[in-house]
Amino acid sequence: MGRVKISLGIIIGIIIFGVSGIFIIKHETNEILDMLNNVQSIYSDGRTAESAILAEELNDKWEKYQKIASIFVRNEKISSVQTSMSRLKPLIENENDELNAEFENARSALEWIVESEIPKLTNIL
Amino acid sequence: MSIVFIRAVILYIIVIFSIRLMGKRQIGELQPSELVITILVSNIATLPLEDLNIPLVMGIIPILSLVCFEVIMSWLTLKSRRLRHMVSGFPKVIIKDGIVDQKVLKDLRFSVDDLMTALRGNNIFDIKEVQFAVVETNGNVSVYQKYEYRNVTNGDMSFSDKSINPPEIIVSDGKIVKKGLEATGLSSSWLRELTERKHITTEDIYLLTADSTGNYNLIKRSSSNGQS
Repeated sequence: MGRVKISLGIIIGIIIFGVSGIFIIKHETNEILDMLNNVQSIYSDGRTAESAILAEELNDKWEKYQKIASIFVRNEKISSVQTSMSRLKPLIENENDELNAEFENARSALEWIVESEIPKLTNIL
Repeated sequence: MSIVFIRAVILYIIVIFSIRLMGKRQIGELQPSELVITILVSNIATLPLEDLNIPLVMGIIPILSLVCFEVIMSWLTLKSRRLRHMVSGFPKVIIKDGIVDQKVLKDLRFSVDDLMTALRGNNIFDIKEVQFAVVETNGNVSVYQKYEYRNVTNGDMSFSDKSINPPEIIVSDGKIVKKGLEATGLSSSWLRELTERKHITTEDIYLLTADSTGNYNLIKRSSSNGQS
């Protein structure tokens, strides 16, 4: 009976860990997506310097988040976001044409992190 | 490299814990589901070791989940006979009244060679000695011999003696094993008297075993051997 109780405790622990992981990833990723949208809209308004500062803040926020995310998410998913995030500020400062494409890249990579962690039927199968 | 080493240490602890949680069965006694779980655990454990891109929890969670499900399932099968039969199946009788049931053997995909190998494993080299044989749910074959081929027992010879438990280890490598003393009901004064009589200390003893009647076998640390 002792083993059964330990097993039930472990399963409950795993469920709590998994559910809290989904919530953390969803919450943090949404925050980063909001910041990303904000940077993009400010840049579209022509406020380049302000958007560059916000892009740096976004990068800092991402650096902190990726440490937590690496516990739950495969490294390749994180590194694809990392690549886009690190390119944002230089592209804003140079007002490069590729900036909008990079915004889209970062957005879709972040959305993919959340999508792949939610236990939907398609993900399970 | 250090990351791989640390991961290996963590996974080693997790795997040892998991195997202990599953219980003490030997590989040969595992039910089919337990065997599959054991193979799966060893396979999953290698994934986060080989690929550092995979988070360690992706290895730990499936290992612990599978083992916990197995423990819970074995508890449930203990409670429910129907579930036990669903999960483990039934033992199948392959020889009854000395007659081989060929249909059951065919269903089990058990060849004549398999049958003879299993019988030899039970120390039976002639099939005519077998009265009854069963293939257990873990694949082992249990055999019941015909009366004329069974070994003579003390009961058959009307020998009567009190059954006692086998000897326990009292001193191992110079250290007193208290559990052994408790199990045999012998006291530490018995051990003191024995060592005084032999003019030795417990540190001089390599192995001392004894049963509840006080019969003992003593092996000194040196090459000389004691007697019971």
